[in-house]
Amino acid sequence: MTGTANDSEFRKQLDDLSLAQQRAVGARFVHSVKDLTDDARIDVAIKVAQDSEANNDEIHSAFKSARSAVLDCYTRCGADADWATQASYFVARAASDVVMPEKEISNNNPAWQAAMHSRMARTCAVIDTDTTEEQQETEQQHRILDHFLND
Amino acid sequence: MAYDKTLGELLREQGITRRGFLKFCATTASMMALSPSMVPKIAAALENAKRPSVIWLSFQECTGCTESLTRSHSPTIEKLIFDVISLDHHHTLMAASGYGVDEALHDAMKENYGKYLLLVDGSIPVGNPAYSTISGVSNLDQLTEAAKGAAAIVSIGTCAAFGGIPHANPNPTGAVAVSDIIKDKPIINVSGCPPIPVVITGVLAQFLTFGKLPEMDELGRPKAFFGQNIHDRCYRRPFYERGQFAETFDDEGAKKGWCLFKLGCKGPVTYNACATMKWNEGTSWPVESGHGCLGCSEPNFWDMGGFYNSLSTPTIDIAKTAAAGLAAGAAVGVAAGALNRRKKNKAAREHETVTINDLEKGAKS
Amino acid sequence: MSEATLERGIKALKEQIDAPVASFFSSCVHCGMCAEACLFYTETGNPKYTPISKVEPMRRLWEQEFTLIGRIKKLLGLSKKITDEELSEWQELVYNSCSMCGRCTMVCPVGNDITYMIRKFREGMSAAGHAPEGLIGATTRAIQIGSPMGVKFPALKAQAGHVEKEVGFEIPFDKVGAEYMLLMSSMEIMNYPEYLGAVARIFHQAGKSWTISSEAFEATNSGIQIGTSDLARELVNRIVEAAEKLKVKTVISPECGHAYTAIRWEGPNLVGHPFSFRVRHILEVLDEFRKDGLLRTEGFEEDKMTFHDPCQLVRRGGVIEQPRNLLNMVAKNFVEMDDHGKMNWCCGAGGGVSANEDAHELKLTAFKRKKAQLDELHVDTLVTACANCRIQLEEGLEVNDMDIPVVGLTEMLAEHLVETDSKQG
Repeated sequence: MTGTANDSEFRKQLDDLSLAQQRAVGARFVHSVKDLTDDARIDVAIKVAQDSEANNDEIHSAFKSARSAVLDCYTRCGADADWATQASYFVARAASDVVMPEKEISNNNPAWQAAMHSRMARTCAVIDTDTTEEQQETEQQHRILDHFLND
Repeated sequence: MAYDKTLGELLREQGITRRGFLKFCATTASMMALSPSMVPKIAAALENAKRPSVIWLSFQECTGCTESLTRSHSPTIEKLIFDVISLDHHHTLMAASGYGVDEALHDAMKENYGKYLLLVDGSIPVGNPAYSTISGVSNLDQLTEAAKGAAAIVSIGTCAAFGGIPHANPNPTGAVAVSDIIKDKPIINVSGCPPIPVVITGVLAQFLTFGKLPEMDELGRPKAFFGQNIHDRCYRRPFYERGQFAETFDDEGAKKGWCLFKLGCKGPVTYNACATMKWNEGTSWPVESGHGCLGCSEPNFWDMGGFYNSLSTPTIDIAKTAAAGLAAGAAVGVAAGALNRRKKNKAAREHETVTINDLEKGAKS
Repeated sequence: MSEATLERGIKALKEQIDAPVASFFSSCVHCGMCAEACLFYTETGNPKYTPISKVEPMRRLWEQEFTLIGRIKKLLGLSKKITDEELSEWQELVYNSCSMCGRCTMVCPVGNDITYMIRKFREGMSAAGHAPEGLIGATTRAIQIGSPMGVKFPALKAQAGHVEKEVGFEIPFDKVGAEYMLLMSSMEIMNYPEYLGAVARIFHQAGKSWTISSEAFEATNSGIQIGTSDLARELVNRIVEAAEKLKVKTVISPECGHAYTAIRWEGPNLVGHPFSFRVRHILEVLDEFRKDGLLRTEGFEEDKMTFHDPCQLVRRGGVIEQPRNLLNMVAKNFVEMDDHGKMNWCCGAGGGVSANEDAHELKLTAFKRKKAQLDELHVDTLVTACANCRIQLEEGLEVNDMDIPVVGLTEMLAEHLVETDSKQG
């Protein structure tokens, strides 16, 4: 299979996956930005999303703990922005995307959502510097998907 | 009819939650200007109150008082309070007709002699009692008989309280108020044409709670509801203070909601709760909808010199003094206002712009 | 260089006592109905949270300075002077326990606008140096950086970059002559970037031109929250200048309640002249689109959902019908809370409460009121239209172990848009 050239191609490929596959590849995207957080709840989400045997209860409880991770690190209205904390906020959101219970997903694609939130996490981490890491994250995600599809 | 159940039991049977009930008690407390600490007491008293017998007699009236009470409150708890009061006789509301009605009246009077609450709307013609009779019995006779066994009498509406519209000049039927006939029973006047529904229910709730009638003003009206002047509580009062009046019903002032004093508003001489409680479950009241107060809760309101003549253009001499007093009061108000304006302007002139550097407190001494 | 002192505070307060405030104080009948209307009172049962008593020092100042009896009392030394200690005690009441939600104003039988009085009292408190640290920080950042949360333009630009990838077209910045100028709250930029994506897709479908100003993208007005009109004016002026420079017809306040009050209702009064453009809340704009047939949706949410009315939209702004019109386009099973619409209970975190760390515990206590409303409904989803309400709701639900997702109305609508062209560019 050829490499994923651009984002629209990337998204289309993600849309073609089954929900279990979307969760699994999304988990790999989250794993790729795991360096931005030290929250253990993220690991749980990654593990459950990759486990094709996981039942609804496991998914639901992983989702709940990922959501509480989100709420632990959001920035309050009027608080001074701490971009490092904000990076972990988006990692947590990406993690909750991949373990979102089926009825709450509606027409979103968990893998795509996780990809976007992971990129936002990377953006936050480098917001005060002028690097291209964010672009690298996108390319990294494309590579992850290629690997996944070729597994 | 079952008199043995308490109000609390009956309310629960009707599916009223305790929370809903307490909410009603709290509203009642605040309406009667009681402290919040009274709420549990009201609740306890109402819970355990036995369903009292209530007899409602209608004389020279237009049914407006009954309409006011039932229509605007039909879905609320007030109505249920009414359902669980044993309303044993009420021409308009009872299902029975003919002799059955008279029977119900007599049974209720006999069974609860000395304990029932008598509610009356309408005035009583004494010039010639034949002007108003029910089953051949004149209003006068019926009232005198029913009053004998009553614990207390509530005159609902201005007709029963003060004679009202039938009493207006030239008073062809010789209409009088309940209090002109009955002298040996406690009477409470809930005046108004019609009275505010919650005022009626509030008075009943208070009677149930404390077993006695509330504190009254010199006209026998409950002070909690009639203790305040419409004008003093009117939201258009600031315009009066500034001398901004609507001159006609369609001028700029009227559109801007200025004071309706010059268009004949009787607010300054009227005591009622319209300005604070409003009508139709707090939606609006006459002044808010653009018309001056008629003074309908006051005696002789029909003969106060015309609804659209302002109080300061008197039709009778006595008002001259009032007008002079009003003018003097206004002058004092203006002087005080000027002083205060000066003070405020000074503060505004001395305004120091606040920057972000000024938000932190300096070194505290 | 000056600093906050008691003297400045008292002077600022005197300046604030105007005819309405004077008539409010003189007409209060101490009925206590405002207490029952305030969630900080109902959820704590503590009478010190009775709304009208939160402005007690201002009442005393009014009495001492502007009434005959008060002046005589003062002359005879019978009245208590306002002290620094007292104001510092009152800080909690004026800032922590009031979201300026306006519910007390609605129930006052004599028509006192208590919210207006709190807003005025805060002028004196901030001039006297008794504003909470959190709000001082937020206001300082708003003036110096342009956002109470210190969000600079590159951060918005970066988030917009992701959104562009998601929606497949460019987010228009600094476009002169656009019809609409979109304001954002920092909350949305930082925590809910999906809002920007939703707006972009809706405007794209409607075919309306819009833009974001790089010079004034922030809608939150910390000057209003802390109660310093001089600073609030400066923040409003930035938006006015940007809107005039870009020659837009309408400025859109974001899904943020107090920002809307600040720019639409307080704004023209602060700058002292009418705006050359209109100001609308995003929901008002979307409802206009709906009426003009420009908002086309497909499919329905099957979940049982309810709408939390942000206090500033319904009570201070009158935006009541619009969210319901919009919800009905996409929700099949929409139910109303008790007290919905103009009497809805506040989330407990508005008006600067959430920016104030000291108020953290109290705002979660206040949330119990919302919990009670929700407990009666058993909904699957909670919809709202204010980023600040939203985070408070999410946090409150989490703390109370309630499993109800919270979504923004604009985003929900965007999810149901009829696809006009390919999503990806």
